[in-house]
This record gives sequence, structure tokens and C-alpha cells, in this order.
Amino acid sequence: MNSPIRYAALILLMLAGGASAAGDAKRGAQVFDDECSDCHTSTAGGKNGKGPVLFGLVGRTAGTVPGYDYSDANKASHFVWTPEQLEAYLPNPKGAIPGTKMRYAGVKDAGERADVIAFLQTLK
Amino acid sequence: MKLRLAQYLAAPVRHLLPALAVLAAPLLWSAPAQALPSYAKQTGQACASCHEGSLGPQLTQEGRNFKLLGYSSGAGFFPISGQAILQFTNTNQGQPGGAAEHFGENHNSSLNETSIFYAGRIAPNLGAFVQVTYDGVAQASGLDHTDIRYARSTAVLGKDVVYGLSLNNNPMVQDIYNTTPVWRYPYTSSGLAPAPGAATQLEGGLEHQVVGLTAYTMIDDLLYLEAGGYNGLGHQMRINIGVDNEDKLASVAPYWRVALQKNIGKSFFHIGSFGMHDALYPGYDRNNGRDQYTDVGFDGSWQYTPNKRHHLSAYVADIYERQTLNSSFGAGDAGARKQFLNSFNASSSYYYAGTYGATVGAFSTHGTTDAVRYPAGDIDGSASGSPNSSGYVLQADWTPLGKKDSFLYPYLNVRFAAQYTHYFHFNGGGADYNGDGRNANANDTFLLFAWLAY
Repeated sequence: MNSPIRYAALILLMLAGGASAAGDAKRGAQVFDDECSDCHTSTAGGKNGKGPVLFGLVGRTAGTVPGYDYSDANKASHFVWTPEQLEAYLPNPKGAIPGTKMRYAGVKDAGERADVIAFLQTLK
Repeated sequence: MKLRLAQYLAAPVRHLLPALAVLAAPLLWSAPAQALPSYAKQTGQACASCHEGSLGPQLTQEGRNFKLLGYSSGAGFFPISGQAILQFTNTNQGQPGGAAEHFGENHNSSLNETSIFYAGRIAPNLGAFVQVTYDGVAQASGLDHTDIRYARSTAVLGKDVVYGLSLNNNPMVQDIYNTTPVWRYPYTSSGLAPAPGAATQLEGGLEHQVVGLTAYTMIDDLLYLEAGGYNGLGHQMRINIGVDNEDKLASVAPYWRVALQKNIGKSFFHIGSFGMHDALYPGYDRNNGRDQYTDVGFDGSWQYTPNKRHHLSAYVADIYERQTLNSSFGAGDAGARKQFLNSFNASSSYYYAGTYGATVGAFSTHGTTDAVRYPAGDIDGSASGSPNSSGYVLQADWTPLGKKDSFLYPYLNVRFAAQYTHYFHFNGGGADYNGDGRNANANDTFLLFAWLAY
């Protein structure tokens, strides 16, 4: 990377503050609270609720949290929860994995989706 | 043989119901470890997740899905809950002779309902909502709303599909939208105030006296389809389970429901239609043919939930009922064979933080004038022979519990509310509607109630 581009990247990162390239984890925490926390816990050692614990989600393979009774559809998806996979999944979970237990309608707003994915990336 | 077996099974239940219902409240209060609002315990979710304003019955998207999937999702299991509704009723004018047996003309307090529920999973994909209620006004107990479901979700042609069966005792108790009579606003009314006399069959005409089986599916979270039929319970069975009704379905009553729903941004919308056709022998009288009712309804709803602090919703439904009253006409209980009734209901609510709520609602019923069916008389009479009634209902409520961080979560939930009902017309008129000098607004009702779930 040559110097001008490196400087530009540094400036962008500074402007973005604590946000990841894809979203703002702080805002994402609020989105998580509004949209996800009824069913999912997000802390280390958190319990499975109506949905599985989401601590450590990013990088994990779908259907692998111990003690949670996943749908066959979820287990058969073999999704690996990368930010890209989450971006594809979250607008319409039932469309991405038909037959999933997760009946949630989805995070429709692209900005909120980016923020909550950024937040999920901090759960490690 | 089957009837005898049912009688043997039902008879002890009949005798135990009052004791169970009355005893349930104090027992559950004194043993909170067993007094769990069972759905919350099963799902690990707060009441606020599934209900507007943190207490039923208005369902959120999460609540509709839970019901759609047969009350069976979640990892917990303790399917017993209780409920009590305490009321204070004040009508604009008293009711001479008493609002009900054992009650005064006005300013009455009552333990309106005490219920126990089996509410939760029975087995994987199988769950139930079964309510047994002691009615503190009628001082009687019986099997209340019952909905037992089996449901599964799968993929068909790449689309998400939920399908299931509902075995229930009240047409539309199984409905997931809060527009239709069983679950629409007002969600509780005074048990001691006068109420308009005319209602369509889908507004309680068959409740608890039938058993129905319907099959339903939700396709791609977009299209809901349901169809099935209802048959009448036998006379002795009705007695055994505490149902006070003397009509008998002549044949299986077909029932159908269709709806389109869509989430757009933070809003949920649905439009739909529903209906039923039933033929019955009033009072088991088979000498004059049957009374037939065909109900067709249209409904819609909108819910807007930008975040957990604000929730705005609106519901509307209209039911048109065509009546062919051969039996009633032949028996001299109706002045014409062909009649109709139309019922309209709309409401809108706002809740802040799932705690503070305000709801406005309007209702209107109109139909064929028939002085034989709707005669002049006491408070329930009609001088004009008309079934027409209209008015509005206002409610403000406070639901301090029902969230995950609430006191005694998930063991206790409570709502305190004030409700005001005003009648523009009551049984056909505004002034002197009953031919005995009583005006419609004499029945305006101020109601205070506390609704406890435990």
C-alpha cells in the first residue's frame, strides 16, 4: 500500500471512531437489545433461551451451540457465521433457511444490519 | 359408549372445577415457585416479547409465531398458570333490581374471573391453551377457551412453510390476529354492566358449546390459510363442562380463514377474511326446521414497533351475517325468515415502554328490525325492535411488570386499568331505547380493573 492510500485509510478509521468498516458496534448493541435480546443472550456463559446464545457467533458454524435444540433446516444449512453470511441472512432469516425455528421477520434496514453485525463481531 | 365414557370422565371434573378454580389463586400465591406464567417460563421470554403492553391478549409478531407453532417452542416446561380479574363497575344509571344476582344496582365490585390454565407444550410440536374459569358474577365455573395445536415448520420449494392443526372449542379462538371477536378490544369488559343484545354467531354465538378441528398453514410468512369444521357438543357434555346454552348445531359448521401479512420496515400489516356457516336447532326444537347463519368478515391490522419504547397499533374488522330463521320464525320467535346483522369494530393503541397504554375503540352493530326478536322491555329491551347499537370504548392502563427486569419476573404480571364505554345507540335507540324511559347513555360504563397473571 502506498503512502497516500495508507494515510487516507488511517483518516477514515479515525473518523469512524470505534466503528468497524461495516457498522457501529455501539449502535448495534441498541439494535441487538431492541431486536434480538428477547430470544438471545450475548454474554460469555449466557444461557440458551428461545434462541441459542450468540456469544462467539461470528466464525461459528450454524447449529453447533451445545444444549440448544436446532431445527433440522438450521443444522443442514452448514452456514458459517461470517459477517458476509450474516448480511445475507439477517434481512429474512426464514427466506435464507426455510424451516428454521427463528420466526423473526428480519433486520430490514441496511444500516441497522451493519451495526448489529458489528456488535456481534465484538462478542468474543 | 363414548358418551358414557365422556360422562364418567366429565362428572368429577364438573364437581372439582369450582373448588379448583377458587383454590387456585391462594395456592399459587403462596407457592410462587409453581406459579409461573407458563409461556414466559417455557420460552425464557418476557410477557412483553409476545404481547403489546406486556400483558395479553394483543400479540406481537413473536406472539403470533409462538401460537402458530403450537405453543410448543422454548426449552422450559411448566405449563400451569393462573389469572384473576377484579373489577369495579359504575354505570351512568343503576340497574333496578340489581346488576346481577347478589349484586347491587350500581357501584359494584366483583372478582369477575378466576382462571387456571394448562398453557404450554405437551410434547414436541404439540401444545395447548386450556382455560378453566370461575365466573364470580354468575358464580359458576366451566371450561373456557381451549386451543390444542400441533404444528411444524418446513421448507417447500425453497419457501418457509408452517402447517398445523387446531382442536378448539370456539370459532376464532385459534386466530393469531387481534381483530376478530374472541381476542379483539376491549379485551376485558364489565361483567356487571348492560351490554347490547345482538351479536353475530362469530361473536360468541357458539363459544364453548362446540368442538372444532381446523388445518392451517402459513406460507413464506406471507399467506395464511385455514379451514375446518365445528360440531356441537352433546347436551349432557355441555352440562358436565358448565356450558349454559340450549341451541344445537344441526350439522358440521364449515369455517375458513385467509390472510395476507407483510413486514415492511418496522411495521407489520395484515389484511384478511374469515367466515363460517352454521345451522342449528334453537332450544333443540326440531319441529320447524333450522336457523341458518352465514358469517363473512373482513379485517386488517397494523403494528408499528420502531424499538422497545414505542408500540403503535390499529385493528379493524367487519362481520356481515346473513340469517335464515326458519325455526325461529316457525316457533314465533322471529318476525321474518330472512334477516341480517352487521358488526363493525375498530381500535388503536399506543404503549410506551410496554408499560403505559392508551386505547381508543369504536363499535357498531346494525341489522334487520324485528320487534319479535328484539322486543321492548327492561334494560335489555328495544322499543323500536332494532338490534342497532354503537359507541366507543376508551382505556388507559398501567402494566408495571412483564419485562425481564421486572419485580418477580416471570412469576407475576399485573395490569391496572380504567375503561370508559359510551353508547350512542343501545338496542335501537338513543333516548328511551327500551320503551321504559331509559336512554342509551344510562348504560355508559366506567370500569376499573386489575388483571393479574401468575
